[in-house]
Amino acid sequence: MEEALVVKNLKTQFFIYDGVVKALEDVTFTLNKGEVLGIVGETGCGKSVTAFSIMRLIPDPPGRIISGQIRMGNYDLMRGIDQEAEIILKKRPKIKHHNNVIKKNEHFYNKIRGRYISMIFQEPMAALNPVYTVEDQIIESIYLHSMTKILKVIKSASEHLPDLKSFRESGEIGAEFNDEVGTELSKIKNLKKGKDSVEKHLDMLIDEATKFSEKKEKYEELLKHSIEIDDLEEKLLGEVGEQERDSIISVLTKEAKKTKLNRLTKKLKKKNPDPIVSEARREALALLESVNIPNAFQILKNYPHELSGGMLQRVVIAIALSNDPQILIADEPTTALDVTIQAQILELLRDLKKNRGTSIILITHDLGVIAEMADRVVVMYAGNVVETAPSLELYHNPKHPYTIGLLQSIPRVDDPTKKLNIIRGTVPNLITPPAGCRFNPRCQFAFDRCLVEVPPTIETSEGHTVACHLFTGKEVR
Amino acid sequence: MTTQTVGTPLSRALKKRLESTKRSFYFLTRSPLATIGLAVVIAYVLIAIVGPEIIGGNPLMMKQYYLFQGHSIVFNPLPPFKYSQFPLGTTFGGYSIYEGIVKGARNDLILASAVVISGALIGVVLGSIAGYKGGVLGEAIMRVTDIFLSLPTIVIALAFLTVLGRYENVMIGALIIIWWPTYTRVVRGQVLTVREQKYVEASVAAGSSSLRTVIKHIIPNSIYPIFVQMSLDYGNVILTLAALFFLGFTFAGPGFAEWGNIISAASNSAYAGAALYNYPWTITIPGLVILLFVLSLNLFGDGLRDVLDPRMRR
Amino acid sequence: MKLYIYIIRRLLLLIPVIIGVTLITFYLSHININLLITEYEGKIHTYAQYLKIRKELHLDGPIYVQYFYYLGALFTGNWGFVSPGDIDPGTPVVVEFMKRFPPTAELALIATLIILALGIPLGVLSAVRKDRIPDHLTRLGAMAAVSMPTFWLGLLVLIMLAPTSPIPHWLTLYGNGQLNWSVYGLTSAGTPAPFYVTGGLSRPTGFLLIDTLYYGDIAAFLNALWYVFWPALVVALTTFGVIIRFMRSSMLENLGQDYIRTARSKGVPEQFVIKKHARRNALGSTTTVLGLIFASLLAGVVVTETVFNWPGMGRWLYEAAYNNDMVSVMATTFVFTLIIVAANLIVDVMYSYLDPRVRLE
Repeated sequence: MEEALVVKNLKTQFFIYDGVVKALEDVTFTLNKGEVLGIVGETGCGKSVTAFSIMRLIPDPPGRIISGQIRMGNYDLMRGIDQEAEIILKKRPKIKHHNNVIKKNEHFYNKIRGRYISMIFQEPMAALNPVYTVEDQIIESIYLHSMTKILKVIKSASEHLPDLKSFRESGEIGAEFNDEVGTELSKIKNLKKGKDSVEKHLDMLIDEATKFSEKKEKYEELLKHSIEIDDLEEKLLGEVGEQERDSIISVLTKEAKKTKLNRLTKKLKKKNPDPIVSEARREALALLESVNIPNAFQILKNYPHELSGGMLQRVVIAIALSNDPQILIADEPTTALDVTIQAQILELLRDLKKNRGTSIILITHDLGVIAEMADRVVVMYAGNVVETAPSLELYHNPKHPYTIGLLQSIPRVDDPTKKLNIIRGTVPNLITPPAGCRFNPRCQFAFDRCLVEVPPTIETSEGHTVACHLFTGKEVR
Repeated sequence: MTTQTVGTPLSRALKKRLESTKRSFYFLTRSPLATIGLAVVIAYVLIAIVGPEIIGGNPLMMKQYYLFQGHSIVFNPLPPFKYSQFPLGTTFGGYSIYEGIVKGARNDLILASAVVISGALIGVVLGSIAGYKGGVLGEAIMRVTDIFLSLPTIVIALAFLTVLGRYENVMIGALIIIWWPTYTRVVRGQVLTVREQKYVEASVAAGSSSLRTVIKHIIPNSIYPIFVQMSLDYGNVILTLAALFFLGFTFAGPGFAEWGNIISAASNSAYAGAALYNYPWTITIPGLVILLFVLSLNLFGDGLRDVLDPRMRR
Repeated sequence: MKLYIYIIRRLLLLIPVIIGVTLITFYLSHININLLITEYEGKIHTYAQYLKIRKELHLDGPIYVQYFYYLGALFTGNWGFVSPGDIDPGTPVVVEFMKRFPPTAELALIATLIILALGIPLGVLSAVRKDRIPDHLTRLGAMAAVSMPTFWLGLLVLIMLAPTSPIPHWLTLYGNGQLNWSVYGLTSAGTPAPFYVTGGLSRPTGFLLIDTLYYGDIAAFLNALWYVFWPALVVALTTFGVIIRFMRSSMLENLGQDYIRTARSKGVPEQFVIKKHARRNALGSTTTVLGLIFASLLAGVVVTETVFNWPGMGRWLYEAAYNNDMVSVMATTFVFTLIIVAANLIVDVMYSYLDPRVRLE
């Protein structure tokens, strides 16, 4: 199976008053294309830190990714991270930041975030900016990464203007085309949101196409430029020399400045928007419809506080999907929601995987959700990956004592006589984690070796690895 | 791994408090500006206590010196750093600036303390009632507070001094009227937060009376923000006092040792106008003294707030 | 809720505040009846005359009747007359007010503009570069500025602008030598017009900057700008520290919010995370402080007008208080309070515009 994301020996630490929190220690796992990978563990075991490390959203200070590798396909995502700062180890460790390197890496990573890897968050209520409309926040993301696509759609729409007009009259999308607008039309058709929605989309497309034809040269020029920028971005992701990388980044930096995102709000308020805004809005509409938001056109104009939690989570998912990312990280997406809404959101994620082939990392502490959704599971404990297995295998044949404990602590409705087993104690303080296996203070099978030696990761069967001294077999690393 | 629980609950609580004080102190000293601020404030307080005793004479008033050159009196101010008798020079009217500053430190500190402490006390009482009891009474208190908050500071002080006469009590009273609403607000906000804490709920559930709850739990736990507010306000009170004296609304005549009054001696003298620019020290030196004190207070207060407000911590 | 409904509701809420304010001014003006009737000094010779005038002024009835007449006079514009011994004795207070209000409004508005133009960018800078050199410098500078006595800073500016100033004269050379230094002079004789206007033209609005433009006199306009700028700067510098401090902490708080993380996860470039997402939210809460600092801004205006000999309400108040002209003192106090109340109203409306959530409550 093809790998979408490989995380190797990821190490993240937080430098705070009391000392250094070793939040992640050699986290290693693989996300395959088109699968749902579950990450489970108790609160405070590093699930979210893993997600944030992949997204490079660790707040600095106090946090830093110390080392590790993250590869997305052939692209190395961790380039230059070791040059960002020096850590001077004293009684209280001091961090010396190299701000110009950090800035450069930031610009590089902005091309990844939202474009290739997206994330949805735990608290939908807080995840959206309260002072901007829903459409503003969706379009922002489209604007940043899909300019070429927008322009191409408008262009090809202008080529099919008469057809679009006839569709509008009949209220139905007839013939199919083999270009960008064709794809969009079939998307609209597949949404199956009724005549009103189709007409709205067609109206907008016709409007854009007309405006495009009026100022053809200007938009052709924009398109050409946009394609050039896309090529540069592509190049940046691959293997480039240090100097070329710097020069590309400086071009992209200037380009980012030109997006003038702060003026977007004003542009959106215009009665007669320019075709780029209009097409972005149409795509935002399609996105909201694709995440099953009723009345999507009205919702676009709403402010976040006017929507319910479930709705907001759908909007957040729509934002995450706005550029068709390869990887979606969902950090406890259903924790803050009602049970019924939870099921709907999970259903949505499942559809996503099926229809778009998106690879999903699903972080949760709810083993029920994992059983329902995940193809494979990574179990984390105190910043370590302790077990990785296909989900069926994990439920039927758990190996690590921690996994066994987790599974036994789920209340069973079908067997009420069974006593719940709990794991004694709590997640250890990660400033001074236990030596050897970090689970040893709570493990009922712990023996002397566990107290001194960090357990290696062992492959017990195909695709099932465990980091525990109780097992022997091929060491994976 | 079990947490060690040694000692009586009291000793544990004390230990915890000590630990948190130590922690706060660490953060305070991490901010060099706040430390310097604290040091300067302490220095001023020491000067205010000891200084007037060393200089002697009436601790409230500046002495007028008449200098003779031959047979004529020297009216012009003397420059600083030239005469050992007047290390910081003199100002119009024959007052020694150095003496004025030292004696002024005591007067200013006493006046400002009276204002800030009374304001805070009123604020604590009214704020606790408004925050803890709430209801119609609380609402009424807050509305009145809002009205007083919209009174312009110096304007209302001038109005009081005009109507009730220029007396020390009137000036202090007017300043208290200006400052109590801030404390009421701060205390009420703090009480509202503290009231929701579990230990307060537990104490109420255990049958503690409201007065006891307020005095034992709520006030001690909302005291830090009041201290911060006091340290920041103290400077503002000093500035307002100086402004009132500068404008000539003094209750004790031109010789009263107060920092603003020293500047007033220069700018309100018959020699004011172009002549003033020939004697800049009569203005700059007392002004710098005020600036240094108020700045130190603000630096300290700001540092204190950063320490006590965990959100601001790095 | 629609914005205009919000404004109407906000206006209704003002009524108790205004009643409270009038109660305070009423108390102050009636506690000392003798001061209140000083304007009749010349006519009072016997106790009978005193009683007659007291009756004329409705000062002999019960307190609530007095309050009623006070309110009536207040709202019909019958505010009494400027006392003898003052600059313009015998002028109706309302007339004096019309003359004095525009200069103060101008000074306060320009000062507010300077506060916003300096305070907001510096606050953002300070938050974004937290704990680095720009942050330290901004905070220390702002704190030093608010720690200065306003009058002292004003005097320093005057010394700096003076012809004998040790500082090079490029500052004073502006305007073809038109800057007439003596009008700033500290000899407080009369209220000289602190600006240069060609000829003895009438003043349509009373605002220097508008009037000079009205006559199309660009030189005079620039000159007036020069005259307004310095006192306004003094007022602004001694007030804007609060804005910087609040903007900074508000920015820091907003930068820690979840939606900032969402914006970053979309790949929004850092400059727009700050400019678009954090700043807009921080601005909302900072406007509320703007209302609060308006009181201290006006206090600064009073002192600065006195130092700069600016013919506004602040200087009027100072002169009136100095001469025990109670009628004028109470009038200016009332107007200053109204200005603060109005400023708070404007700020609230601005806030509800900036943050759509506010209108919901």
